[in-house]
Amino acid sequence: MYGNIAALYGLDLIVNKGDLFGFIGSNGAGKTTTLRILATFLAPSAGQAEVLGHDVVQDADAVRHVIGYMPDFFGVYKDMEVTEYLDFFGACYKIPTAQREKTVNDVLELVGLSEKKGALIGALSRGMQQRLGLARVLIHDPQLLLLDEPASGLDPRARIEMMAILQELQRLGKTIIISSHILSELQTLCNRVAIIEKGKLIYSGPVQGVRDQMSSGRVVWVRVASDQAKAVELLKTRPEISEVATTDGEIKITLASHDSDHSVIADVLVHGGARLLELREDEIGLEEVFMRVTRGDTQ
Amino acid sequence: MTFLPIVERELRVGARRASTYWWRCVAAGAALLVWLLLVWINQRLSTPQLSRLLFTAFSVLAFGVCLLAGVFLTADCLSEEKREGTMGLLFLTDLKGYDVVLGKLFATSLRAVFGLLAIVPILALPLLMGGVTVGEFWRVVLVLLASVLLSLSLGMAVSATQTDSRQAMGGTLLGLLLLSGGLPALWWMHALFSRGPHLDALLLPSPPYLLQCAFDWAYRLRSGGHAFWVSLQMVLASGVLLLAFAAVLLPRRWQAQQEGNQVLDLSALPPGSKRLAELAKKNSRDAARARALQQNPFLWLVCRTPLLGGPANALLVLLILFWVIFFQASLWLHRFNYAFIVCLFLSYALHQFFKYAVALDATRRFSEDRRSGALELLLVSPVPEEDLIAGQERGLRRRFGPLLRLVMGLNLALSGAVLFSSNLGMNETDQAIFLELFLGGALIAWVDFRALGIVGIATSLKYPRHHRAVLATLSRVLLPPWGAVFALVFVLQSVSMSPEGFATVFASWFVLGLVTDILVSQRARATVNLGLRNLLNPEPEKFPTPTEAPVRALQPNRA
Repeated sequence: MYGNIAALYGLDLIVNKGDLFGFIGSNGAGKTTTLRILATFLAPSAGQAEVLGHDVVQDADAVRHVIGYMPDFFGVYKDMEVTEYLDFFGACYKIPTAQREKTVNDVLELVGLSEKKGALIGALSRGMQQRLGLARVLIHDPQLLLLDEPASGLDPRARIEMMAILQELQRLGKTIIISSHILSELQTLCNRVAIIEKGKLIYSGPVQGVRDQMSSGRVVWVRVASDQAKAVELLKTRPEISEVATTDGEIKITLASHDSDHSVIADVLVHGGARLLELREDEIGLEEVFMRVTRGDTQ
Repeated sequence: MTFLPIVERELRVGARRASTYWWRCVAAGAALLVWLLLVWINQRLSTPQLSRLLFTAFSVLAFGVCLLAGVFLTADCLSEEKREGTMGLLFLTDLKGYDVVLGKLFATSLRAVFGLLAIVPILALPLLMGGVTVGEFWRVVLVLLASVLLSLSLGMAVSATQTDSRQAMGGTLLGLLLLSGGLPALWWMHALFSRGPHLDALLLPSPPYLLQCAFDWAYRLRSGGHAFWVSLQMVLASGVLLLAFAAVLLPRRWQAQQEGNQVLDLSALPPGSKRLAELAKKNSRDAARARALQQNPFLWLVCRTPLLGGPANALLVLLILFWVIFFQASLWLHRFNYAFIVCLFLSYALHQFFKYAVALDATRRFSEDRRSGALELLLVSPVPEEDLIAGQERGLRRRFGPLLRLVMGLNLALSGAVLFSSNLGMNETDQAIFLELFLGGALIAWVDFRALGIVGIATSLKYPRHHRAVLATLSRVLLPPWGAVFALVFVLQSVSMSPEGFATVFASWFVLGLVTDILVSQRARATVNLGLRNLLNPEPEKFPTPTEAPVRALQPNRA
């Protein structure tokens, strides 16, 4: 609760081990509050949250050992050197002195900052500071990473590199919850997503699942070099196809079911003598889904 | 083109802010309250006597506030922008150094000047009561305006040179101490060692000297009028020069800061003794860090930055040097009767500086970490909150232990002088009173130090802006004793005091300080015990029922 406003209400969410879980919502939807509760920084007014079997309020200390939280700001000491910073947080996580140097070197290598070991943090670029934040999160080898807007403000290259690092971390067995506004990237990166608005959960599940629910039917666009009318007639004979229409020299084909295999379209056209130039499926993106299911209200 | 665009903007913003007007009422109301208190306590005095007492008391009180304005209002305003990296954005535009400096000056000091103007009518009340001349009144008003300008300008100048808030505020206070106490001390020292004419030029830029010259008893002396106007010009010119210095330095200093953000690359050094020396230094630093982190990581964090900047350290050493010279003079030179009194005031100034520096350091770490978000990162790590508090308190003790011993040592040395120096020629009663003053002062220094430590933690969790946390800490711990000093000097002037009376007043002062320290420490400890996370987050409240459903609910899928 923030004053009279419920930042979260009835949020019921399960994240499976090994998931790269996208957390989507407008500004003020409650994403950061959720992550802060999971990170044990904020106590919920009501309800319960567990991380790897530990209650975030009753067993907060155990939770802190298994999570790595990266907020949407850097939280760095600009007058510190990179290694000093990581050494300090390593000590906070009780990593023995003898191991710390190696751990620091390892995480710096993982995030691609080995070259900047001795640099002052204040002199690092935004992208590098973001990577340093990720290195800090990884210093104690947590099982769950809570990343709040980790790619915000980064240039395209830094963003792509950040996403590659996250994929590598998932491959290493980490569970990652990531909140982001860059939905196109979450779409390719995450295996599951949750959409939240005004503190309420709208959807939680696989990325494909939300697309399927939002689209009325799968749409395939076809361009042929030969007689378009003949191609339309060929397509209309197939039971897998529910609707065929032509627009701007292209044929719009709506498949009868989400499970239909669109290779049937190519088979029909090629065997019917049509010269197929292009075939593409019109896929609904996460951005489109987000725009359709949310009102854009904030609290 | 608009002349001074930031100034114009800040004035518009200030004019729209309701607090600008409320602040005047608060200042005038507080002044009226003190006025009524003074009148009530000093009812036995005749009207002209009371009028003079009120005028002097109010002049000194307002002067003190004006002189400290720069420490709390401007000292951290430019350094804060440099720390947050927003100064560069200003210089990407066509703005010049003077635009930024004057803009910041207006933005930070508008309310202070309004507050000062609000108490001027109350300062003028003695004119109606008699005993104060119109000329004297206006001279004091001029002194207050000149002092506030000098203080604010000094704050701006120091802020332009520094990035760290402690160094900026500490440097400003030391600069003011040097102007107010150091220059008169130099004048006294010259008088001490030289038989020639006095070096009065040393006194002219000193604001307390200017205030003294403004009163009729000094102004009517043979050269009093001339001294006042020259001193006023000197103080005003110093203020303007300091502003100009800040305006010229700021664009250059900001660039220099960016260039200086580099770490020494050992591999770039040529092989040889310099490289070996740097390597040894780095290894020793790393080993020390590893040891400190093993104990308490937050303790290392608190202790890793130097206590004061180079110039501030130099000023502190200068003040201590003055003290030593005057102490020696009071012990050995018969012809210089005032050396002991100068020594006493220098000790008092050093005690106040020490307490101010403690408040700066006690509030800085949590205040800055809260602003930068680093505190949130620490609170989601397994470091217990108690370790953070303990690290801050131990760090403060480690950093200020030597300075605490020094200021307590000054008092003990003065006590020794009172007991054993025949040069001072004190009788037993005087000895007892001075001993009480010095030993009590040493005890209060220790107790204040403990109180400032814990109150500083509590206020820094409440006020994210460092200077506000410092101000809140000082007002909670030191305002009652400072109020007692004010009462001691002015409220009781009408009472003819016996030596026992003085002893009682000093004892009351110390007891008040002790009680204040105990009470505010307990309260701060209780606040801190609520838990840092609870202090940083809003209180949970009852859930309301949400009224609106989302546009389109999807089937939750918990595969």
